[in-house]
Amino acid sequence: MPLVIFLCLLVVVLLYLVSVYNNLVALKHGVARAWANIDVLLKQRHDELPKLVEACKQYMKFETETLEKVMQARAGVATAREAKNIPALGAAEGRLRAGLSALFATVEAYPELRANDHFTHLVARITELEDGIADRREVYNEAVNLNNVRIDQFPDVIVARNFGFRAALSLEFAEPEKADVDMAQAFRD
Amino acid sequence: MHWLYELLDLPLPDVVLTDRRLWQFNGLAIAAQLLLLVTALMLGRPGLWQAAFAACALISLAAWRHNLGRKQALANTPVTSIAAAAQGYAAIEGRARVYLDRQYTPTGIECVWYRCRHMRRSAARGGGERWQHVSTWQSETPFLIADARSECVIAPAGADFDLPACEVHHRGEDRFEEWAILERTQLYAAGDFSSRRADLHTPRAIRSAVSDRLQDWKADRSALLERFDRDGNGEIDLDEWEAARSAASQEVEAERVRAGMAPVTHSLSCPPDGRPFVISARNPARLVRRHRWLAWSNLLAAVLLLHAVLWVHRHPDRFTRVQPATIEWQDGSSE
Repeated sequence: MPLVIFLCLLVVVLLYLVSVYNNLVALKHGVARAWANIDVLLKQRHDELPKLVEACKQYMKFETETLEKVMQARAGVATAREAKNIPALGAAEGRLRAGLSALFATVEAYPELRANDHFTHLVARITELEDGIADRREVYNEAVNLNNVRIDQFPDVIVARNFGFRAALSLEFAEPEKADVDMAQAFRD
Repeated sequence: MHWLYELLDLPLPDVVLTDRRLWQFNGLAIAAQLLLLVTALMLGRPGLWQAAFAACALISLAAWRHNLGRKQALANTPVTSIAAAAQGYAAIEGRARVYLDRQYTPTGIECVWYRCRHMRRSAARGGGERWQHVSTWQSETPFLIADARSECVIAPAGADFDLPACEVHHRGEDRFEEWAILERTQLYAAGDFSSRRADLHTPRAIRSAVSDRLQDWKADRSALLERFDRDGNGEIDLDEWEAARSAASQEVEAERVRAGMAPVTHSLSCPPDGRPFVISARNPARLVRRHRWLAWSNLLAAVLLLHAVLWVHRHPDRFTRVQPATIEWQDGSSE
């Protein structure tokens, strides 16, 4: 009988470890889902930006450098996104946002472009996508935080180390996005 | 839970409406365990005590797993703004708003959702009075939770509500207990989140929309000629048809961009995978704490019950019902 009880207690411990493991898997998937939630908006914005640049090119013949910067930053974001390189994505995202704010400031000098319906819809759409990305970044970081705290806590840390659960990286946008936009500078550019 | 109180013949307390499945599952587990232990006590055989303790330990383990699963589902889901919530299981916060129709409780309180429990006074066993459950009903009309930027439609079917207090109204021998979510009440909700928007974003949808637009134009030939017959020969030749196709593409593209700006309809409903669908007017951390407490107390109970099986094995005499002794008198009679 004592052996049976010992085995029962062993089963209880095993069940507990299985539960801890499943919880860590759920957290890992939570991070992946939060990432996919951002990724879908990054893809949509990636598709919209060339249309914005095309619309601008028709009016802004002498602003090729500004438009070029936006397209380069877009390519940087796409590369980092495809590689799932979170720190590189944060940096590229900062550059893209800085480039877009410079572009929108430059557009002020082109009233015909500002009056174009297609252009205004595109700007509104991209602004909406940017807001969505910023909101979802917070959700992603919260999921990362839940995951990282859990895998450092006892007894989860034992299961995490033995089964290779790793801390996820939070997504931080580079400084230009966080700093106040210097509109005067943007207009001088 | 009223059935458990009736089973145990206890007076119904002024309970708050709370996580229904939590109390149903745990109430059922406790009732089953009590039943097993009472049966073992009545029959008084060590083997039965062992079986009862072992079965109770299994029930406690099941309750532990159930509560732990719900605790993990809630604790692992970060609360997000409605606009930023991911598709699938999500937790949101916001204020309650009317969606389709304003609701009224049976006693006329204006709200977005309510549940009413009808009790009737009756005579209790051994004198006195008790409240007997007659019926419970609730509104199934969806309502909204709104935050600063978005709204989410809540389909309340299958939800566990955790609300702070109920209004009690008496009408003669009847008592009505009403729980209501008033408009602008701050709510937390966790469930299956989904968003819908006019979908014109896939290449196939765009091609189909362009084709439909060209078909529409072809149906009105005079308008088509007026718009695209540049050389005025009464026919749409190849170049003119390309121009029409290009115009249709531009129109669809403009509509697609506008559709992308259209408000999205978000909704929250009962998850199909058994994860909790909770709507709470209280701090969600309370729910997590409650599930955690129940999970650990059930695990502790399971371990103690397994220990009890061992205890019965070692001391069977303590779990054997003592048979009344037979006294034999000197005259040969016995009693």
